Amino acid sequence: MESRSNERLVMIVAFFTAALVFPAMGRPARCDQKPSQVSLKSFLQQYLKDPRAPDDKTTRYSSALVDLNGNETDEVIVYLTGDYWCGSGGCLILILEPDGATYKVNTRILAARPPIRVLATKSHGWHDIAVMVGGGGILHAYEARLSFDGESYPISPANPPAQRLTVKVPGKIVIPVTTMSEGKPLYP
Amino acid sequence: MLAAKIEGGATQYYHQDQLSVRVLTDSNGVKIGEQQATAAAYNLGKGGVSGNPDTIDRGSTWGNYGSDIMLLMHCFK
Repeated sequence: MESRSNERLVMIVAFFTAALVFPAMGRPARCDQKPSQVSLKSFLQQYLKDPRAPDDKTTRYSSALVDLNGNETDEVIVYLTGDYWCGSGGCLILILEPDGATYKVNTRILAARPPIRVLATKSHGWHDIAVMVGGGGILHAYEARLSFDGESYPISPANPPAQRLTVKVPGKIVIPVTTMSEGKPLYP
Repeated sequence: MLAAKIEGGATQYYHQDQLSVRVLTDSNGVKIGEQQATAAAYNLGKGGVSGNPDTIDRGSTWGNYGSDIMLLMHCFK
């Protein structure tokens, strides 16, 4: 009787030791995904839940980690494509701020086109962002500068306060030109 | 086909095939801006159109995409 309970105790100890040493046991190994990307994907799946478009399988996303406000913590620029998020004017961009273990949406930028550039210039301490504007009746596509106003970026690159750029402003491409089939699928 | 009605009667969802389009109604249930919302969705993507009748065109090209098409429709009546 005593030996059986000792055996059980050993098994319990072994189980918890294994759980501590091999925390990923039981989960399929995904070497291609970094933890932050997994959580970004989960966040986007939750945030974009819409009764009008249950898990639109065409949704794809591209993301870039950029410290926009110089606080040594990266914000996330997300470019979403798919049937639900794109129109003739372009697709949806989300500017996400880290918020503890998750994110909060700072700005939804509508009808934008890549490439998305982070400019060297700043407004209210945040880097300006440049996107392409085209389609929807605009004959000649152009680049627009989106400047932070102290709270968020403009929601529409085609309308003020977004500014049409007439000269090339120095900056870095963070999300290049992509097609609808590029980017990571948001849903399995 | 009317598929669902949100409490308060301000917003309804219409379903056609696999797509569902939010239709905007006033407090009396009169459809307003349905076509404007559809036109704006062509520019913004369906996910970019707000549920507020006052801001259907918000963020669209030149800020008036849907209403511009509504004005254009008069040319063909």
